[in-house]
Amino acid sequence: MTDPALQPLVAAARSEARLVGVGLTDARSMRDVIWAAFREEVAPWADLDYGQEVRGDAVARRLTEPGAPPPDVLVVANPAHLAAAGLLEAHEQPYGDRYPAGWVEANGAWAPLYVQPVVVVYNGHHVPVPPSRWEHMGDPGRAGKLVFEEPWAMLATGPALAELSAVLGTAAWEELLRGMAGGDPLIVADNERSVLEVATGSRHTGLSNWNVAVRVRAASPVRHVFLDPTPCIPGFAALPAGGSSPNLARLFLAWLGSPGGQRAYAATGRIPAMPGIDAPTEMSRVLPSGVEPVFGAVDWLRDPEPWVERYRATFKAPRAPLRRGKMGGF
Amino acid sequence: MTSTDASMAPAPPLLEVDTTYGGIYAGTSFEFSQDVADHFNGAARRAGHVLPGEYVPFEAGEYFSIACPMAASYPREEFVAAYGQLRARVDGELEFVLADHPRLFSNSTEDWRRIRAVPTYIRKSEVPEGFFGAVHRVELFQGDAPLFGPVERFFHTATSGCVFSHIEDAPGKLVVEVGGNLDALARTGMVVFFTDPVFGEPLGATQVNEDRSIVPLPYTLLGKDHVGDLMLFNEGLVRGVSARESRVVLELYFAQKGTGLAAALYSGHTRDTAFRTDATVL
Repeated sequence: MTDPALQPLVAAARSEARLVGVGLTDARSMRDVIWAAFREEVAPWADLDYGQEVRGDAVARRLTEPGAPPPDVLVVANPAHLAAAGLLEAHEQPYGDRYPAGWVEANGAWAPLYVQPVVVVYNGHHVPVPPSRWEHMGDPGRAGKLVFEEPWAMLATGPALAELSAVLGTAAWEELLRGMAGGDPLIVADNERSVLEVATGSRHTGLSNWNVAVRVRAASPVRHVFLDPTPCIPGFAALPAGGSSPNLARLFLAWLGSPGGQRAYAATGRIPAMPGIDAPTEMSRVLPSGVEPVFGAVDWLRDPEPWVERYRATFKAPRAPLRRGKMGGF
Repeated sequence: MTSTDASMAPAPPLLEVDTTYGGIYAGTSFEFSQDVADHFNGAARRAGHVLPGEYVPFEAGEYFSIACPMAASYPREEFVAAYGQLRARVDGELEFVLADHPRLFSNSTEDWRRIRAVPTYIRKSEVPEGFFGAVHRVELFQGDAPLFGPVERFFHTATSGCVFSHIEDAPGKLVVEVGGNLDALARTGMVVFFTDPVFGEPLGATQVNEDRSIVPLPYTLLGKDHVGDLMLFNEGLVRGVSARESRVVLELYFAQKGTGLAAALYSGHTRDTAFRTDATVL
């Protein structure tokens, strides 16, 4: 039986049979797990056309391409730019009050879906003792052997460092950034590449979101460690203006934010953003004892630009295109 | 060489393609990093006895290969001259003069002065959009003489076949992880390895299954690839690879620690992380 909180949206959505989505979540998880649960619980008439896209600028292009309708739903790391540009519409969030206040947009322009703890990944062959404090990531001994995803893209590394600024204190945080930047880090396009570089041994230590760090095979030399506190960065859903199936999109987004949708996200191995969801990946079950999460300590979400500028000024952007971990055809 | 010298030079021999493993391989996909381009280009600058027409510099980018194994080995001078006459024709209309593109000559294991095979690497940007991920008809000519084909070969995208994901440093060995569509690997069971002479010749190979069981696999040294008189890598073939799981993990064992070139390839795509210049046997 459909969640009663979603019923008001069902009737209008019935005349729309196809949803186009794009975003951070990998296509297999979205199609085979999340959408399959949505069809079973809510909308058996509907089909999904979904493609993964990590880069925020590529998503923005999809929303502004002349002659092509925008996708109906988005999963993005930083929706504030899109909302500020008038590219998003508010959508119903019947369970919005169950989420941490800092992740919910008051006007309903975006909604948190899942949480990515940012962890340190290291190569067990090369690093016998992993870092135990964030300050260690800037140690001179890691020079030339450090890798992380581009902070100024505000996907995971950027927001994580921003959150840490509030808990480390200004001096320690500045020192951390200087140390990381001074060690000639390899800056890559995504967390998958960060883990890949550590797996080879070309880089010994890196940052990654936990969701990616745990995908390695059992005998991989890649290990990960949660540092205290662990920045927890959400991924967000949003409703683009002008999509072809706006009512189906509203229903899908409302369901994603409901306990049913959150359980489906948890079934992909991700941490659901709604606290208290009974799933093995509920945040309190993932973080080790003694490690506290940090989120919402600073407002990198609504106003990312000062952070972007700071990271661009601190870290040297490579001239060559950034190396990617996710595979794409060419 | 002066024009008089050229007129006196003997005609290059007509090459004969080895058909043991099916003749010409074509369509394997590669991602060459700037490090790999610098590695080979630097070796070519340092090497002695580099023949005119032997080396074309690499640039970073995406490539596909057309590889010609020979039925016999040929003296370097003769082979390089004959190679300069090779043309590959694809679908009867696309034509590639192989000598215009980067290549790595594979020399005999017994005598580096003889060449037994050559893969040529052609930039993916040189073919029309939509070319990859499909079967194409390939023919090889030496001058106007047909050498091999026409045969059908699949030209891979980065995701259409096996994806050689990465090579890991490890104590006494290197570890390669292969994913993607493993159908071709399941059919042939073969993986080619390039490994730096700094590691010594590989001692053997194993496959590590997901249940942690370990299966020994035969390793055959095929060639010692050179530019001029400088050895670039040992080229070898591991056979008997089983591809029943969603990924394949192979280990290649070495006697010597060191850091150098290592690559793994076959029917599919080799990522830059599986074609490394800093692979390290710990």
